[in-house]
Amino acid sequence: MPVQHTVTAPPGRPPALRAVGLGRGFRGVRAVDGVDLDVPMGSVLGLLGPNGSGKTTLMRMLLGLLAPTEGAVELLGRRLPGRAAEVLPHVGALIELPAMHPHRTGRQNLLRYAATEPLLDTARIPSAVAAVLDRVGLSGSADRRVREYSLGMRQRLGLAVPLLTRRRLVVLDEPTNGLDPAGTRDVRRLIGEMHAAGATVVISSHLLGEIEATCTHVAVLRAGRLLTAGPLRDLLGGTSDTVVVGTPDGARAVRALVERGFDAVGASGDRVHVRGAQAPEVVALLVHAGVAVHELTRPSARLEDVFARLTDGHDAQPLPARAETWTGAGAGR
Amino acid sequence: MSAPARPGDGRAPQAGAPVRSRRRTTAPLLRLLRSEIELALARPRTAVALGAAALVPVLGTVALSTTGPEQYAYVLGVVMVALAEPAAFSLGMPVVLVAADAFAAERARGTLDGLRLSPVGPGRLVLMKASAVAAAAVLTSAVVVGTSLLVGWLSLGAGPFGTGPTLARALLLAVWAAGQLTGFGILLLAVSAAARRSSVVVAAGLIALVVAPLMAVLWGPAAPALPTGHWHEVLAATVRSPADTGAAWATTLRAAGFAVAGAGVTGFVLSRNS
Repeated sequence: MPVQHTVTAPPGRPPALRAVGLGRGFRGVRAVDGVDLDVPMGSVLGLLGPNGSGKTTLMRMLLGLLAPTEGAVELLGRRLPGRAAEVLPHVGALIELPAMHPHRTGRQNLLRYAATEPLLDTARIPSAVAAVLDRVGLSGSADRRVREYSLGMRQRLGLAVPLLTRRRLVVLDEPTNGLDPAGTRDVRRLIGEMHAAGATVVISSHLLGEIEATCTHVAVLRAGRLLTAGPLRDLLGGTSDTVVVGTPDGARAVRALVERGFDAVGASGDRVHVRGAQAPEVVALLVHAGVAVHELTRPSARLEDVFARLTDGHDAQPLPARAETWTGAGAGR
Repeated sequence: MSAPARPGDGRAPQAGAPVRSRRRTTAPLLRLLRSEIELALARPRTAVALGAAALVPVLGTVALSTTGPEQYAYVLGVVMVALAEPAAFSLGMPVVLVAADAFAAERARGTLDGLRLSPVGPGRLVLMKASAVAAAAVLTSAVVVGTSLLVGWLSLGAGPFGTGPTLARALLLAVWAAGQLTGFGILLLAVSAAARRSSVVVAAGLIALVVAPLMAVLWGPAAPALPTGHWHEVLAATVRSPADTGAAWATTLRAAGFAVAGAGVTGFVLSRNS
């Protein structure tokens, strides 16, 4: 039985997005399997997972674009698909590659999307489209046909669609795909603006640095199952097994630690990294060996390390009976 | 820590829920229709197909003025040639292409998901796409009959009916042809809604347009159910004096049946998909 995790919403507020026992199979393969996930209102959730882990399938189900074979989805307190018409106008999305009509210009494509937006008044459409083109940096190429756009320009145009109206929930699948570093910075800025305006944002990405820089919460998928989910700071803060010792005599410190069976290596300057150790025993050992200790810290793990540890080498193995939880909010069901 | 509340099970918080139900949940219908018609008619291949359809009356005029039967060598004869069953292939092409783009091509491109997310429900989607098909049908009919009138009149003259009656009969044929094409196109929307590739819809449309006249010849009883069945009777009745509109009404009813069946099946397929 899979282990499920949740990022629990604050009491009294419905989660922006809730999946309960969500599953979907394709020709006998479980693309998504028993996912339980609550995304708190106002958070920025990064959905991580190796290729084929089910991220896009999960996102499509969360938006009602793909019917789950089991489980249920609730967006902004409204259940899908029954109340989709009420909630979807408040939800913006970019799933997979931006879908545009290549023979139309960027502006014409956005005008078409704008025409279908229930919350946009007809008179406001041209100005809303012009404003959003400006926001994504496409004003200068707005009247070129989309077939002439680069991948990065298409991505920007795709990002313009959720920006047409003020959204409460934005779901972005690989939003920085094809963007250069400047474009990536722009996307990060846009996500920050949406978040600041009160939107809950769900992003999937392979770029762990982007997730680390952008997200407040993280969920990790592997083989269609949710391995863990929680606030990013808890995920990173509680996982480092390395103690960094500041000492003026690094070589002696390393020697003393290695002699006692610790995994210690000298780092740049006066630092020594000790893996798999508790701080008090390191201090006691070094003091006993006559090595001066000026400082002792336990740095946060990088998301890349956490992600690799969670997802590496498990592809052919069954899930552990109980996956690791990062916070008190994580719950096995 | 307990599991999250199951949606709709009574534990999902309702108070303070952020979405207000009374807000507008769908865009104004006329705005949707206008946007859809604009998209369908702006496609370059629709324009090419319209141009190809407009060539038929030009070729028909050349044929009638050189080797054609003398009793039809006037402007309404050109209109008859342009709307005859053998010309259904070119006449129907713009509508076939619009129907193929309507769902199959949009699905392949991913833009259908954008419409569903807006959200545009199945009923409105059918209306939008049917309006685009109808617009293509009206435009095709107008272009073909208009070209026939222009070229035929200049080359062959008004013929036995005089200006007013000729224009009235041409207008009747234009409206009738638009109705026939609309019914056929909406029937094709059902194929488009179920297909994953637009080429499937184009193939289905062209096979229907090519095979239907042959079927009508080979097996007469099937003609009333075929998209182009009895077209020749409508055309022949239009140049009688007085004009007989019985066949036109019968075939228009058939086209209306196609439209209703096509819209119903399309709506059903879309509802199942969503």
